[in-house]
Amino acid sequence: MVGMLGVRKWGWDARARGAGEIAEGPVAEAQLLRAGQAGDRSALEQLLVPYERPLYALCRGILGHADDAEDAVQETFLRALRALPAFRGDAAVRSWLYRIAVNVCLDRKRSHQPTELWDEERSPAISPTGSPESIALRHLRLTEALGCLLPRQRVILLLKELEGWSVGEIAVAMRWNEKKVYNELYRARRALADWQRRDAAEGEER
Amino acid sequence: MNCRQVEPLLSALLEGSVAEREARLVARHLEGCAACRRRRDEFAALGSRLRGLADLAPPAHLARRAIERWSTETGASTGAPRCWRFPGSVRLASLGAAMSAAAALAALGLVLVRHAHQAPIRSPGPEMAQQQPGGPGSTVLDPGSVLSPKHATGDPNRAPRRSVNGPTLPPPAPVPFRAAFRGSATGGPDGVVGPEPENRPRRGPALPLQAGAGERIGDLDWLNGPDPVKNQQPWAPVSKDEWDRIEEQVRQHVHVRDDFVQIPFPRIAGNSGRAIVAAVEQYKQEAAIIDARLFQEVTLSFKGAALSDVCEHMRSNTGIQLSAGPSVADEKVTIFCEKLPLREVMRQLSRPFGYTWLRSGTQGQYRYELIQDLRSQLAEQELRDRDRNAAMLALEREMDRYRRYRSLSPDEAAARAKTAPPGEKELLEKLAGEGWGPIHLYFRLAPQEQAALRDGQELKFDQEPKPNELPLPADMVRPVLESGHRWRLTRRDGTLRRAAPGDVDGMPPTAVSEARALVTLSLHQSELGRFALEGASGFRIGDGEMVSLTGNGPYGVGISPSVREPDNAAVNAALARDPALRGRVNVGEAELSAADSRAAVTVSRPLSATGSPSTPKKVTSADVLEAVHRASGMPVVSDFYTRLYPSTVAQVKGERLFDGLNHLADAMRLRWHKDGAWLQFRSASFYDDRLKEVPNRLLTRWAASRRQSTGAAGTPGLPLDDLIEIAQLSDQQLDADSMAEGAKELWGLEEWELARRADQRRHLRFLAQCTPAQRQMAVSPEGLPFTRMSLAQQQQFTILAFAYDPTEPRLEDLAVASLRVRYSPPGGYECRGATEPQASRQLPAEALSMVWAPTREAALQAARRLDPQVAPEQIVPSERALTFLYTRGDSQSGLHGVAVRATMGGLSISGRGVGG
Repeated sequence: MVGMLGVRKWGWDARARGAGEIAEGPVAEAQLLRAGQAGDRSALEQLLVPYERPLYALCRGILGHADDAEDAVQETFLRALRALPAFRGDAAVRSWLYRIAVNVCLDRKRSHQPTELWDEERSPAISPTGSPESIALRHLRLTEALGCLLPRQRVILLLKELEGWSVGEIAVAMRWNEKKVYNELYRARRALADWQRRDAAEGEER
Repeated sequence: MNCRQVEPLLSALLEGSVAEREARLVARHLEGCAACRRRRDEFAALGSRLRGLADLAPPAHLARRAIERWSTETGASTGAPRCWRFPGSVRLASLGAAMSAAAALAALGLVLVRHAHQAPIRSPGPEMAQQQPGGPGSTVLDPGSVLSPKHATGDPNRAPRRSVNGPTLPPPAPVPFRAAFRGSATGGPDGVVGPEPENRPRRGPALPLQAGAGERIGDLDWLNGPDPVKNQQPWAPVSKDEWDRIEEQVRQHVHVRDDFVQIPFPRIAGNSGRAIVAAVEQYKQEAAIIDARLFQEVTLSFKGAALSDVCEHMRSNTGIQLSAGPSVADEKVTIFCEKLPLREVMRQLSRPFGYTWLRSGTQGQYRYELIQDLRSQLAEQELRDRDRNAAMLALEREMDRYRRYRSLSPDEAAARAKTAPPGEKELLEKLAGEGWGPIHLYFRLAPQEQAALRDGQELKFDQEPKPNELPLPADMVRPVLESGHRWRLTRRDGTLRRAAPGDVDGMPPTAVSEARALVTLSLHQSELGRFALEGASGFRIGDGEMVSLTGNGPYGVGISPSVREPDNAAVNAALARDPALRGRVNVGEAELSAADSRAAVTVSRPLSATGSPSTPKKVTSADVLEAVHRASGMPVVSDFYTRLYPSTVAQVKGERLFDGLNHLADAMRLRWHKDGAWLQFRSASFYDDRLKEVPNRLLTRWAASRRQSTGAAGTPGLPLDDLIEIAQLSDQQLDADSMAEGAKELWGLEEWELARRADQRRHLRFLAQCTPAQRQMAVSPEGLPFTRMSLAQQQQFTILAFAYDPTEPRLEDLAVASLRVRYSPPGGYECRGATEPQASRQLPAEALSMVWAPTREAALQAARRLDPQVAPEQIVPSERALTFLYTRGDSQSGLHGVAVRATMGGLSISGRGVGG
C-alpha cells in the first residue's frame, strides 16, 4: 500500500511534509475514502489510523486529560464516519478531521471540565528521550501551562505549533479573520511564556 | 520601534508574515534590546515544547473502535442487534455513547432525573455510613430502585414510556453517562447516572444525585461546579467575547495552578516524577470524596438572612461543621426549600453566587467553609468596571441632547422653553437657569479635565482663577452672570450685600463691576453604576467676601443599561416550554400578605416593610420570592439586597409561571434561572449591590440599641455613638438610596438620614476619631477645646471649620477654637434664628442654634443666657437634629462660628462666608 505510507508520514509529522507527499496523500486518501464509502471497513481503518496519533496529541493539548482526549478522538472519528456518506472530498480528509476535532474539543471544554487532573500511568509514553517519570513531569507542567490559556487560544496555538497549520487555514477553521489569528497567537504565546517565567522563578525559590 | 510594538511582531515572525521593512526594524531593535531577545527565544522555545505532546502514545485501536462502534450504530438502524458496550474496551468513548444514546434515552433520563429529585430521601443509615468511603459502587443508584415503574414515584405517566419503546430500546443499563448529565446548568441535578450492572446489587438507602458508571463526582466538584468565575457568567449580561476577555484578565492576575481551587494541590517535596504521580493520586482521591452526611434533609426558610446565620442554622440542625468564611459571611440570601438533601442546598448556596465550599478535617468529621475566592472577586470587579464605563457612556448620550441648544443664551433658552414640548422643555429650562454654565463647560473640557472629572474631582472655573482653579472662558462670563435670574445685590454704605427678595434697589450681578463669574462642575457617583453630572453657577465679590453658587442639576444621569433592563424573557427563552413552569400562578396582595404573616416562622428577622394605608405597601424581593415559592412549590434561592418595591409592581395574576417569573424578575431588576428543580434569582446589578449592602449584624445591633435607648422626651432614638458608627460605613453603603430607605422602613432606623448626608458624614467621622472622653466634652455645653485635640485632630478640625470660609486660618484664631455637638431628639424646644453679632459675647451668634431644653421656658432661659435679646417667638418645638458648631477666634467680633445642622429634612449651614 504505497499511498498508505505517504499518508502516514504526512499525517503525523506535518512540519516535515514535502511537496511530493502532499501530492501523494490525497490520491491515496481518495481511493481509501471511496472504498470506505462503499463499506470497506479495512479501508476506513487505513484511512483513519494515521490520524490517531496527531489527533490525540492535539486533543490532549487542548483538553489536558488523557481520558478526555481519548473520548474526543473517538468522538471525532465517529462524527466523521457518520458524515461519511455526505463527504464529497472537497476538503482534504486531514483538515476535515481536524476541524471536527477542534469542534469536539471546544464543545467539551464548554460543557464540562475534566474531573481529574492528569493520569500518566494509563498512557505509557514511548519516547527516545527521558524516563517515563521525566516525561510525565514535563507533560504535567505543560498541561498546567496550557491551562492558563483560553480554550480557543489553546486550539490555535496547537494547530500552529503542533500541526503546522498556516494562519490562513486556522482563520478558515475558526471563522476568524487573519488579523485575529495573529493577535490570538501572540496573546497565547505571551501568556505561555509568562507562565514559564513564573514557573521557573518559583522553581528557583523552592 | 519600541518593545511594545516589537513583541507582537516577534510572534508574527514565527508565522513568517512580517513585511521585509518591519522585519529589518525588528532586527535592529533586537540588537539593542535584551528583553525582546529573551522574548523571541521564549516564543521559539514554546514550539518545541508543545511538540513534545507528540511523545505521548495514543490508546490502542482508537480508529478501529470507532469504526466498530459506528458499524453497530448503522447495523442497528437496519435491524441488527445493538451492542452498547464495546467488546474488549472498558473505556468506550462515553461521550459518543452518551450523545447517541441521549436522544433515545432522553425520556428515560428524565425519569431518572425526576425520580432522584422527588423520591423521598432517607437519612443515611449505619449501612451507608460504612459504605461511604467505599469504592465506586457505593455511589451508584440501585437499578431496581430507579428503573422499575413502582419506584418511579415522581410521575406515573413517565414510567410506561419505556415499555412503549421497550422492544426497540436497548437495555439502558450499561450505557456510561459519564459526561452527558454532568455539569449542565439546566439539565437537572447533575450526575444522575444510569446503573452499572457490574456493581453488586444493593438494596438500602440509595445515594441520589451521584455519578456512577465507573466514575464518581466528588462532593466538592459537585457543589462548586467547574469554576466559580464561570458560575458567575449566567448572571452577568455579557457577550461571550467579553466574558472571554474578563476570564483572560482574571487568569492573568492570578496564577492558576489547577482548575480545582477548592482543594489545594498537595505540596510536593521533590520534582521527581514519582512524587508528582503520587501527589496527583492523592489529589484525585481527595477530589473524589463523598461525604454521606451531606445527604441529610434540611428545610430552610430564610428571607434576606446573612449566610453566616444560614450556615449556623444548618450546622445546628445537621451537626455538620458548616460555616461561612469572612468573605461571604455577611452576604444575604433568601432561600426556601422543604426536605431537600443538605448537599443540594449547599450547592445552591455556592454555585449561583460564584462561591466555593472548602473542605478540611478528616473523614467523618469534615468541616466545610463557604468562601469567595480571589478570582471570583476579581471577576466581579471587572464587571463593576465594565458597568461603570457603560454608565459613563449613557451619561455621554444624555448630555448629547443639549448639543443642539448650545447656541442659545440663557434668556433665549427661557423663551423657547415656554413653547417647547415636554421632553425639550426640561432641557431648555436647565439651560435657561444656572445649568447654562456647567452644561456649556462640559462640552469644552480638555481631555485631562475630563479625566479629572471622571476621577471624582470637582472642577472650579473662575473668571480670574486662583491656584487650583481653571479659567472661565471670557465669552461665557456674561451668560453665566445672567443665568441666575434671582441673584440681586444692593449697595449700602459702600458695601455690597445680598438684596432681599422684592427689594426694588436690587441689581443683577451683571450690573456690579466687582462681580466675578464662577462655575463648578462635578461628576457625582450618586450610587454605584449611576453617574450624575452636577454643577453650579454663581459669582463672587472680592476675595471670598461674598460667594453665591447655585445649580439646578443634575444635568444628566447615566445608568448602565444592563442593570436597567434584565429582559428575562429573552434570556430564559429556552425555559418557556419547561413543563414545570407551565402552571398558572397568582402573586398578589393576598399572597404577599400571607407571606408577611409567615415571616415570623423564618429564622431570620421579619423583613416586611410597613406601609401606611395611604401609601402602597412596600415589599422586598424576599417577600415576593416567598410568595413565588408558596405558589409554585418549587425551592427558591436568591441573593438579597435591600430594595423596596411597591407591592403593586410585584404582582402576577393567573399567568403561566414562566411568564410570571419574567414579569416579577424584570420588575425587581433580578435575573432568574432554573437549575434542576430550583428557581435561582440574582440581582441584575449584584456586583454593585454587594458593595452597597449593610450587614444584618450591624443593622440588628443598631435597631436594638435604638429600641433600648429612650431620649429625654420619651421617644426612642438612636444614640450618638451608633450614629457615629453608621457614618463610618463606606461611602458606597451610605450613598445608596435603596439601602437608606430599607434602613428606615425595615429596621426603623429613622436617623439614617442624619448620618448619611454627604456633608454631615465627615463631621461625624471626625467625632469617630475622638476618644470617649473627648466626645463627652464635645457634647457638653463647654465643648471640646482645640487645645485638647491631638495634632492630627487639630488639622482635621481646621479643614472642617474653614471648609465654608474662604479666609485663611490664623493661629491666634485657633487658640480659642472649640467644637460643640448637639444631638437633640424631637419633642423638646430649641431656639431659631440669630441676632446681629455682638463683639462682647462669649459665644458666636450661631451658638443659639445649640440651645435645646425639654420645656419652652427652660429653652428660653438657656437662650437668654447667651443673648438677652432672644424673643419668646424664637423658641420653637424641636425636631430631630444633629448640629456641629465650630467656633474660632475672630479679630473683629471676638468669636466666630460655623454651625452645620442636619435634620431629617435637610442640611443647613450658617456662619460667615457661607454662601447662599
